[in-house]
Amino acid sequence: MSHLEIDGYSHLSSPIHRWDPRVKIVSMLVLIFSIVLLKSLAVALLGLAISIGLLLISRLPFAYVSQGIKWPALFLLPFPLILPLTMDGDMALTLYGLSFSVEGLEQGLLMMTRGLAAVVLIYPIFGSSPFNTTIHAMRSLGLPETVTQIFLFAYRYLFLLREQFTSMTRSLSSKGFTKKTDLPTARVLGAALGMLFIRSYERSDRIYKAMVSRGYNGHLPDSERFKINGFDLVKALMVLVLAFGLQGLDHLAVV
Amino acid sequence: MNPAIEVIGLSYRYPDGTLALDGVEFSIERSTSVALLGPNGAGKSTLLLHLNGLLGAKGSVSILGKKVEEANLPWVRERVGLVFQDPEDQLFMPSLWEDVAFGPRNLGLSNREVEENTSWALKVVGLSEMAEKCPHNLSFGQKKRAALASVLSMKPEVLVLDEPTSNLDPRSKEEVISLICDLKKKGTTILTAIHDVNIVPRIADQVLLLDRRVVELGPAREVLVKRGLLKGLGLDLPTIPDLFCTLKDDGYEIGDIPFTTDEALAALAGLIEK
Repeated sequence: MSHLEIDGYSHLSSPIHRWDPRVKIVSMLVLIFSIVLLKSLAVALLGLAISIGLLLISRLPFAYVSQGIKWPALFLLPFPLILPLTMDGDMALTLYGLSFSVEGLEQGLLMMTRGLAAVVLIYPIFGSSPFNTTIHAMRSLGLPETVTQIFLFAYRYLFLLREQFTSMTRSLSSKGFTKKTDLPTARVLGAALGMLFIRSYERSDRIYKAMVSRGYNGHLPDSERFKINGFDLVKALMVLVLAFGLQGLDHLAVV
Repeated sequence: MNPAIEVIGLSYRYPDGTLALDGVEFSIERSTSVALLGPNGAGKSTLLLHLNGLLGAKGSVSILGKKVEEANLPWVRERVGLVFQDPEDQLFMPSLWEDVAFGPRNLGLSNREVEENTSWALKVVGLSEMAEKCPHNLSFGQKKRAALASVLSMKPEVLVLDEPTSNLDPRSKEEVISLICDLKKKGTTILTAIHDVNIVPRIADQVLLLDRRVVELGPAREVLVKRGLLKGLGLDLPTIPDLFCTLKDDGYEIGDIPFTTDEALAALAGLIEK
């Protein structure tokens, strides 16, 4: 069974792909923090434009990115719809007794824009290097080894877990089970999930044995050798200028 | 010279009380390929785990003359390559290359040696092109070969395989068999737990019948014609020997029982001539 992984397009070639992953992670995280701390909607929209620009430079296919962005976007969409109704401020419109405030709309749009920009930037970070490389880069930046291993193995086995659950639900359907909103359905799904946990526990024991049999002693030997060159630093400088520039513009806009 | 594998009085009981091994004793000479046959629940996989020091039990296991005990475990694991039945258990890293390089790195080899061993192992199993792929994107047959590569990269002297051909289509099965045959020719000691008796004559010199204890250990061509013994364990004879054993029982004059298609054709031609 094939899955579209986050690093499915890490083989492409772009300035973002060729960027040292450690420098890339740090620079892009600074940019993300800069964007999510913005207070002006206009500057946040500029931040979103920069994020999209970086995404375009990374050459990651739009279809692949949009597929992953749709869920965070659905989560962010309610903000500009609900906040105008709940936030005090100048009334923009009154419809059937409901008052919509300008401040609420602005705040809602600001939250949605900042969120979308941050989510968009995740793709150039994680989609332009093999997941393994990104995790090793995070480890060399100080991520604890245990967390590194959890990330690596979670990434490897999440797909398998999903496959197992899919085959379990297919098996249930083949035996005439249909999902309803009642207690028997909850009981059956609970049992299936419980079985999945037991299987996962047993598998983890076998995986551990397989690792130990190949010399594992709790540590993953370093496999990546990173090297920073001048271009990496120039790219980092450009992104940092954008990050601090946005903060400067935001300061001016708010004042 | 010390035998490759020597097991004396090995008994193991699972935490739930199930007796898996009961006084198992046998010895396998170096550069020998042995097929481990037995019914489900005979303790085959449990026995294999002991050879790598993954389970501790009553009795003793020695590899190349050294006892498998806490102090020797790194030494033993460097020399005994264990391939698990389910490749999903064996392939735990996010890329195939990382998986195959995992063992050599743990052995403390230099980067150049890790690279050499990994490239060699991937080439041997025919997966060099897949090196950067995530294991879950490989087909089941490829996963089986990848699991083998992940152990071959450590260049073990003893190879222990748990059902290497189970759930494989005929072509993938053939690829794994030819791999095992190549390793056998190179003098690797191989112990293969297997259910498919038709493969045994091709990959093994000897057969070890296990049913919690050793029932029989002997040359493959002698053990695989003992119909009563095999049936008693719920095992089948390979198809060709089974046919010729039946003919022999029916009074036909059969010399040596044939095991391969060529041998069977020659035997049939002889019967027709008579």
